[in-house]
Amino acid sequence: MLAAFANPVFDSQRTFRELLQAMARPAVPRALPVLPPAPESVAPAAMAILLTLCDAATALWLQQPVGNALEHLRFHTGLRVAQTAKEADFALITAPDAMPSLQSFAQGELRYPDRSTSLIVQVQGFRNEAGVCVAGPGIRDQEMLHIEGLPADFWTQRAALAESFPLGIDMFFVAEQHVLALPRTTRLLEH
Amino acid sequence: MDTSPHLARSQWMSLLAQSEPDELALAMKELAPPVDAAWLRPAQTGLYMLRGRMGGNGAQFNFGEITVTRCSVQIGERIGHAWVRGTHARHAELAALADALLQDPSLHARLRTELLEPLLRSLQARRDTASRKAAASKVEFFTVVRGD
Amino acid sequence: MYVAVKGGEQAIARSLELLAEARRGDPAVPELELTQIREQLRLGVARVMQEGSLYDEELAALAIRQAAGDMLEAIFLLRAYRTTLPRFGYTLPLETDGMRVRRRVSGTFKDIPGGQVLGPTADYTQRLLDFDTTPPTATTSAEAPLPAEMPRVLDLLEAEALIEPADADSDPEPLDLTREPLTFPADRATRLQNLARGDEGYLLGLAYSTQRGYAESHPFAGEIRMGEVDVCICPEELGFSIEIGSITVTECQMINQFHGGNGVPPQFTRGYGLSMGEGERKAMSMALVDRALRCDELGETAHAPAQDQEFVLSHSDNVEASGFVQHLKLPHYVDFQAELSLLRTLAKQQAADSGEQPLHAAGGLHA
Repeated sequence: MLAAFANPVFDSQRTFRELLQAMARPAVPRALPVLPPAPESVAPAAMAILLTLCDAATALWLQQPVGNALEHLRFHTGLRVAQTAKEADFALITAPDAMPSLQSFAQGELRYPDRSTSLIVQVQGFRNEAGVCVAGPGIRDQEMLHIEGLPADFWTQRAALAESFPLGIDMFFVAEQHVLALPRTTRLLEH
Repeated sequence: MDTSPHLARSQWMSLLAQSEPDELALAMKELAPPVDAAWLRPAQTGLYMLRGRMGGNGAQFNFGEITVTRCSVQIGERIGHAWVRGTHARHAELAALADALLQDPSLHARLRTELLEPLLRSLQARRDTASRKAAASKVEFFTVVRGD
Repeated sequence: MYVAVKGGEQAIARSLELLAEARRGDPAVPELELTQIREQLRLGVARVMQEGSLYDEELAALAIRQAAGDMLEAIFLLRAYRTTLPRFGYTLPLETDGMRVRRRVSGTFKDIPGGQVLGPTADYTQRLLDFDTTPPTATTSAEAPLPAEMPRVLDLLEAEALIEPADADSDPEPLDLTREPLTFPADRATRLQNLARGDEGYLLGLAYSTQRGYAESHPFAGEIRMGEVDVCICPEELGFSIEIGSITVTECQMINQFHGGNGVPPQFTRGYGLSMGEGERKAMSMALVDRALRCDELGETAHAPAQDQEFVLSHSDNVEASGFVQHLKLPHYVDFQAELSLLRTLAKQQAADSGEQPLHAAGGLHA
């Protein structure tokens, strides 16, 4: 059994602040202030996000429920386990190349667009060059974005979601100690 | 609470939680905290929603919340847990340490006599005193038939 | 019209200084310690815990001191504080039949198994202000403690099928008002949670109204018991249940006449009240209002305020009520200007319709 945040209150508050900033300034990597211990399959950065955002009122779906990841998460956050991706408030994607289609997650309802699944995707890395071009609230003009290890049709799927806005999916990508957010408000620009 | 001399884990955890924090601290003073203690879940205060039952034994309803402090510590292979009512972090830490140590067969007998038994006696004494004071205000009805 | 509502920052800062000074009072007088409040104002602490909906004597004592004894303000402080704490889970239902009783009375039977125990009560005082400052005399202890288990008085009636059975054959998961909004019609579990958090004065008034004929209520206090109950939880990490401590609660079981209806034969019916700490008045009021609100289920015609669940439950929360009443003192300058201008227009129109010149236009009163 592993420990989690050494100072649960302050560590999660500092992490929350960074997540807030990441969502406010999409597509730009930010360093997370605290990296807690995590079981093998879960990246410490993803663990920091889950410890910050999950509690007994949230349901998590794990793409690969291996080892003691679930036990560890339940012990520290009290979160519930979602049986299907659609029922999940949060989903942890540990093998992005094999991730299910974005349509299989909850997109929210028109009365409650917030009732959607938020994705935490563990990737190899990301950088602000080449790749796709994104724009939207929190982005000055536009931003180039390349995320490694996503399925080939990921951006096509992501672009298709735009049609159902304000429904949609908010995503965090983590690599090493960095997090990058892609909220539903961020649009893909045609090249 | 079962008051037999051999307490199961649920019973010693209950006893540690029901004890006065000061008494627990005093009783554990001699037990130096093990150097390899790893605080898996440092003492943290949160809420439980208290449940009641309609009429005392009917269907459940949510009554109101209560502060609870929980703590988990690992000593060697053994994990000690504690949930104690209130916001007393030290109480939860001591109870979790005691729970871990009590799972160690080489320490159990000693802890039972030096820690659990005095705590249990003290708890029973407190409850007995309160009950006998209340019993002194029991109403004895006198009726005309008795001729008093 | 644009009306400036900014500003006043400095005035607010000065006001807070004045508030702090007023709260502290004469600095030559020692400050109240929290243990003094907890030990010597225990009934105030109990009320703040119950309506603040958070059992914690220390926090309630702190709230009372900070609110300078304003109970509703203290309740508000406690409610606000609880939102900063994580929710770990739900306890197992409190087992009030295992209560370590310190008081237990029945208004329906003289001889009850286990006996009637008065405990600490003001019922038999003459309400004379006591100017005597000598410490109280030592209490007396009986030879033997009270029996460990005291049967419920209402079980005696249930054994004879004279009272409705407590509905225990189904045990649905109750709605939690701290997580879900109140909707109507509200089931009994939801109503009880609302009443448990509700304002004591409000429930007392409603309960009184049911006794005075504003509901078909003919109540008897079947049993009132106060004492300590164990709080048990069953954490997933353990897989078995443990006690996490004890709390003081007061429980009231009201018995009400029922003439039969909705296919139910004439029998006694129940009203239930439960309160944190020594909260007898609250528990009794809650039990009477609980019974009155069961009118639909029992097929009684609802004609009284205490039987109208939408009315009763929507206005029971003193944090909500005090917020909505007191927000009126905040700036409503824009709203009021709109009303004012509407009224002036109407007055002008009326004057024009009646062919009269407004006074000010005629150079009258308007200087």
